[in-house]
Amino acid sequence: MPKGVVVTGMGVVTCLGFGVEENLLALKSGRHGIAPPELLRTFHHEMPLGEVRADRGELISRSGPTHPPFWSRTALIALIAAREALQMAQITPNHLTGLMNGTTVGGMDRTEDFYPGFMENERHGHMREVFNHDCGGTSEQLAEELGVRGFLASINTACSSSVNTIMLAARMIRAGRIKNAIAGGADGLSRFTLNGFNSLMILDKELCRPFDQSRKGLNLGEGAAYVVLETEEDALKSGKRILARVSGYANTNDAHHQTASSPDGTGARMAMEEALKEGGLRPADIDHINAHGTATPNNDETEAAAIRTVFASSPPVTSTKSFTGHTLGAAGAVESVFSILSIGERMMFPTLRLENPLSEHPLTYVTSPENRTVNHVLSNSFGFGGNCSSIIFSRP
Amino acid sequence: MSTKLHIVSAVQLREGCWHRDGRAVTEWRQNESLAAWLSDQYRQLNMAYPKFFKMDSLCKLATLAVEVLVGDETPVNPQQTGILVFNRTSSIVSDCAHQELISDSVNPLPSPAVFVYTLPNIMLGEIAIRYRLSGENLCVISDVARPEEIFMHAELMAASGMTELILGWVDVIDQQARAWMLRVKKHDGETNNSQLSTQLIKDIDNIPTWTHSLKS
Repeated sequence: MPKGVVVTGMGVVTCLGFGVEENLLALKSGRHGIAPPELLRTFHHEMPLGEVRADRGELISRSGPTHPPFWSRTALIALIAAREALQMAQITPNHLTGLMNGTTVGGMDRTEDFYPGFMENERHGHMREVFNHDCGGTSEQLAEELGVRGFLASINTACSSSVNTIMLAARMIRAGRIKNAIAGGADGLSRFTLNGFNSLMILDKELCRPFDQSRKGLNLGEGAAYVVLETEEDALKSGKRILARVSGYANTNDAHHQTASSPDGTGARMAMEEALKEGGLRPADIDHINAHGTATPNNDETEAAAIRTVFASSPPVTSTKSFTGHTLGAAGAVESVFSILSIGERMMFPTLRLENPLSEHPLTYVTSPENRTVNHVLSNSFGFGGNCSSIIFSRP
Repeated sequence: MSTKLHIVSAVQLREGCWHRDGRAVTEWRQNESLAAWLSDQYRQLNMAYPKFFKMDSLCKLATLAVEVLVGDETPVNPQQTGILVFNRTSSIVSDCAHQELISDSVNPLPSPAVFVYTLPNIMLGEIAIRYRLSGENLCVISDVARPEEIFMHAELMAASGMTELILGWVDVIDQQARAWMLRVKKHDGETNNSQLSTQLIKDIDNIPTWTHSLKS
């Protein structure tokens, strides 16, 4: 009999604030965190970003890592969010049997600061600044700092990275391979990302408008989010507060294009169908969908098409990227935390700036905070490379 | 419940040519660069797939490996065919190319054609597109191959409904290339094929990284 997997702790850092409370407050009051660049040094002043409102110094003092020079922006916000999750779950790191981390740029921000000087003069700067450049380096330093000694994995499947870490952790626990785990992801903003996305011409110079007919593209954001997963049995035994059950998940490939989704959202449709099947749920059981909803013309249209195909009657759909921007590798975990909040708070958060919903595949949207009992919430995350994941959280 | 995973075929890149189930299927020829070598191997395999030339070297290498592995025998259940690729050097070839383009102090000009490849899991997308596979897919970055870990991921995928797996390791950095690929099927009954095991993964991972050079 496979074990039931539950969430007992979560932590989050986004442009909405530090911690679950600050994020919740912003979501409830409809206050987004997207603004012109203040911290990222870029000449793209015209591109609004969802920046975490703290410079490197402040992030270091908030998170207090042992050797600050080795820590990138990605790793620092990861540490803050991970600590919150562990504290909420009342679990000491040496009792943790796994850490799964998703990120797409790792320590890129430090690398970008290091190289211009180094290229001029090889004696300039310290190699420690780029020591943890790679994605795995970020995960390893996080595990070391927290004192997690069990299974360690880094997943980079672009924008679905961190939902895949949660899925991996849940499966390993369900299969009895590990007892518990902390899973999620982080991505700090970098010029690498901003310039790259700009070249794909999928950034909006205005505030993004998910699912709106006038949508032009996404706003980039940064963030970190982690959840602590353990077996239902262990959580009940220790008398912990269970935040949600992980009831279904699936990952598929759209097999269409490197960066664009297939016209009818085949991969997205299959991911949602398989997640429902895995969870033994019918489409009608889903009360709420936290969509991938990036606000690119292609994503929103194909995701809406896929939702229409799976759900005869559309559950209320939201895209919280209208608050945070697209936090890339962290997005799946950030939106998992928001989905779990919808269950606990009995509230669906709105899609901001949605005035004229796309007409071709009509869906029901949440456009202002709505009090409603949410028992099952489905969250979508799709990544470049055709990687499509859906996860379902349920009321414990 | 225990389902056995059996290896249907195995592909390795050894000293600049592809081997399938222990036999060389392409030959090493002198080439200017790793990029030229990749094109040469493509031609040797008689692939008619122009999209190949748009890919970066990492995706090209992965596509070649799967081509040798699968050939004309495309998986019968594309929705239940999983892709599981391990890699150490991520998408470093395209990361560097992109970095160079945006670091140009006079005219920084990022290219979408380069940027799309700055993620290692684009390999999975390219494989999925080429063979119309829509099952589960996972790309794991790891400094070394840990057979237990690779085996575990394969088992988890099989347990979640994948009946077949394309499983391998693909790396490209500078002029160095490393690739092996296994075609694994879920099998309940008796079979003559060898069973996927940590020892088997150890054996296939044992081949050294190949560095392109002008001499063999």
